[in-house]
Amino acid sequence: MTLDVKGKTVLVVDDYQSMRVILKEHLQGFGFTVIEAENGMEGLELARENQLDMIFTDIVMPVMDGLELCQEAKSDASLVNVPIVVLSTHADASYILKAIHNGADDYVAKPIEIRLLEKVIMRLIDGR
Amino acid sequence: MAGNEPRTIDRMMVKIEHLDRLLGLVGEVIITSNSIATTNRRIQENYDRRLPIDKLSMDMIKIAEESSNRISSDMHSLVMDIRMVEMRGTFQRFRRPVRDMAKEAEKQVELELVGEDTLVDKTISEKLYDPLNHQIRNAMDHGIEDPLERQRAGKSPVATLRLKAYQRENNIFVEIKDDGRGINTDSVVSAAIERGIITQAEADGLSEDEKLKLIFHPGLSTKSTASKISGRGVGMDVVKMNIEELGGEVNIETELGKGTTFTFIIPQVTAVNILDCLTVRAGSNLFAIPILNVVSTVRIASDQVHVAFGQGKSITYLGSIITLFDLNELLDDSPLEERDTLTVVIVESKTGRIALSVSELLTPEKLVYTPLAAMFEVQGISGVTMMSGNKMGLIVDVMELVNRSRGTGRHMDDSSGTSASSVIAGVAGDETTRAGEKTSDGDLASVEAGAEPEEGVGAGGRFSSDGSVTLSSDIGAEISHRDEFLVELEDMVNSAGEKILNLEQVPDDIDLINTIFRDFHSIKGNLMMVGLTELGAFIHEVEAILDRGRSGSLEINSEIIDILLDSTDVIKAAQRDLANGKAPRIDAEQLKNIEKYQKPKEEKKGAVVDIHQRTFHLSSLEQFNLLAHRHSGYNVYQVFLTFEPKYQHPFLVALLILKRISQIGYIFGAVPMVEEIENQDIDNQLKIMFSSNLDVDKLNGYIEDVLVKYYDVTEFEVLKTV
Repeated sequence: MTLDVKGKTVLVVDDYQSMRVILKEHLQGFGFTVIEAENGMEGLELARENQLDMIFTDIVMPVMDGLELCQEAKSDASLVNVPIVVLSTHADASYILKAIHNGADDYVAKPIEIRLLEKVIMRLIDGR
Repeated sequence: MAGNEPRTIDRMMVKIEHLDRLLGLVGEVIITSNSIATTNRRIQENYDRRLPIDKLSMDMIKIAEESSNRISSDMHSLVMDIRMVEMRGTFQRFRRPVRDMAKEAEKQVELELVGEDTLVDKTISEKLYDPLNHQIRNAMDHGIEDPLERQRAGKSPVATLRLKAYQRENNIFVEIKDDGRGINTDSVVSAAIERGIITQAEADGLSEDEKLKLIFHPGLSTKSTASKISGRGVGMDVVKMNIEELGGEVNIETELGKGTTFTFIIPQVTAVNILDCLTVRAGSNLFAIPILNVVSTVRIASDQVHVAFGQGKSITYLGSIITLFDLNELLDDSPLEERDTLTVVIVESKTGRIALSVSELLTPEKLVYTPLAAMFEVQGISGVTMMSGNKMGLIVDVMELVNRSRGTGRHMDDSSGTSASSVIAGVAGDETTRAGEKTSDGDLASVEAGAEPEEGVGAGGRFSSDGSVTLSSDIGAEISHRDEFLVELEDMVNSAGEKILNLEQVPDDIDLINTIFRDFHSIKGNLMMVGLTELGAFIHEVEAILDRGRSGSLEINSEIIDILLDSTDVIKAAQRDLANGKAPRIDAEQLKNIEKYQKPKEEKKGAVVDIHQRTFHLSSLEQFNLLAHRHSGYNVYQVFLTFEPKYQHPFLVALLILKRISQIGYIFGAVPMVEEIENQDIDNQLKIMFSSNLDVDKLNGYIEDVLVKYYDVTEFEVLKTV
């Protein structure tokens, strides 16, 4: 299983810089070009301005949370096809369901298991 | 007491405005130094041409002198401004202990904080902590009565403890005021007489105030007398000493039955590093040697000095041989003139004892000194001070001198002493200056350089990164980011702690619960990220309580407040453990407490739907759709899937698989049904009925390529219905 994501751009939305840094390093390691946003609102704006291949978002954030971001993105015709992966420390069912119902395409619990992250990326890029 | 305090990172916030001012001053320094250089050239030229010094040069020098005076005084006051912090930080630290002590002693106490925005020097604010802590504890233990006693005395059952800070002219006043039982001066006096501290006759001559101040006498600060004299508690002498070290004094006002006010009055001096020193002159230099390091001073005839080949000079003191150095020479200045009688100061540090010859002993003095900033670092000197007569003096760093002398001694053989020694001293010196900055209380003799050999626990209080905590294989296990996380963590925990104390006052403030929830959530995230998953899981449990609280399904009671506060302690303890290179632990007791407030967990087992037993339940509409699809030439399939996801909930994977199937066909039904899957009534098997235009081979291929490859499907069976 190899990941070929050269030339693909992803957006990382998290209010903690440290979290963004780590995720970014890994995504860049896969070969992605990474852009960052601090909250859902900023993320949505960036998503509209850039041609994105995938969005990674945290749930709990100020201004606009990750669930709202999913909702907004999935009701925007230009973004509806951009897969959204929700990353959260919430591992319980209610949060996963909330994310899925709001339009998230996948859900990865933090701490992020790198093999899972890789698998999820391939799920969403391959066979689409 | 101090030993149990969490190791904090010595840092402070600096306002941008201050940095801008500093930058401005740096600019002026450059301009001044340029103008000095220009003038210098003019004078040089005049001199070369045998001309007298011209008026312009004189004026320029004068201006340069004036501006450099102004700059240095501006810089001084700027640095002092930068060092100013609000009392808030110190005051806030007492909220939790007061609350806990009140609870423990079953007293009701309201803590009032007044004047939190009063600015004090950072050192003062830090040094006020101990005496304040002492006074507050005394007030809580002895001054404030229990509610019953208060009611009997006709007071409100809720006592008030007020901390107040304010500035009057150049003094900072800090009051600790309680409305407790007050101090009975008669008991103080009789205790003092009993202890033989004063005689009856002396006591008769004392004013009320003087009688009261007897409580500061060490003999009256013991535990046995403390309770007798309406309990002002132990260690009053220490409190007084702490305040006096800051150049301040303690006032007491008390009224029996009404309460007591202790007031610390502290001069807002420039920098509060006070050091008992012996001042000496060596040639034209003035030095101050910390008294703590001085063993003795001796005068010795120069013919009594031993000169041994290869070992330099030494003297005999009380039967032992001590190497003798010229203080100036040791500090790379020109040596003193030879004299018949030498004046010698014997000094010692942890690392050894040496004798220093000086020109003259001046006087022992209490000096206020300013530590040298790192940029002005001079080997062997720890600070500058203003001595009596307004003369500038340098504080000698004895430990460094001793280290330095070693270097010199070792290299005496090859007579290239000085230059070689400064290299050696430079290396040895790093450690001392670093440790010196850390304590910065001037007590250089007690500085424990190198006492903490753990790697990574350097001067900045950085955290050990020796991997003593088991890191799991997740992304967060990046050790390089861990320090940042832990620093961030400290701030978050402190801020959460304050909010919890606020919540105790307004337990139904949903917004506040929500912000605390967010704090805990972030804390958890950070812990998880750095691989402290167990701790993260613990916080997750606490967070779940807050989640119920913010949704209104759980009332926040005092026990929950305790749990929340305890959990901040758990994180702080973990942080302390990490800083000391230990693995953090979680108390099982605490987990038990938490469980009580959690949502009762629903039993899941047994509810799992057996997909082989149950057939699809299709509504009449779906049955109609099914027929329509078949007539339109679509294939109708039943697919059985077994999947074994390693890192995700089976129910999530099942939902994702359904989503995937819906991309290649139309789903009529699933077993378990979607509602059941969402309710987690699913094991690892799924049956789906759907129509698709793919033929059997293509469908098999799709399942292989997508579901098996990416969705952890381990077995599948495709049935085409006819």
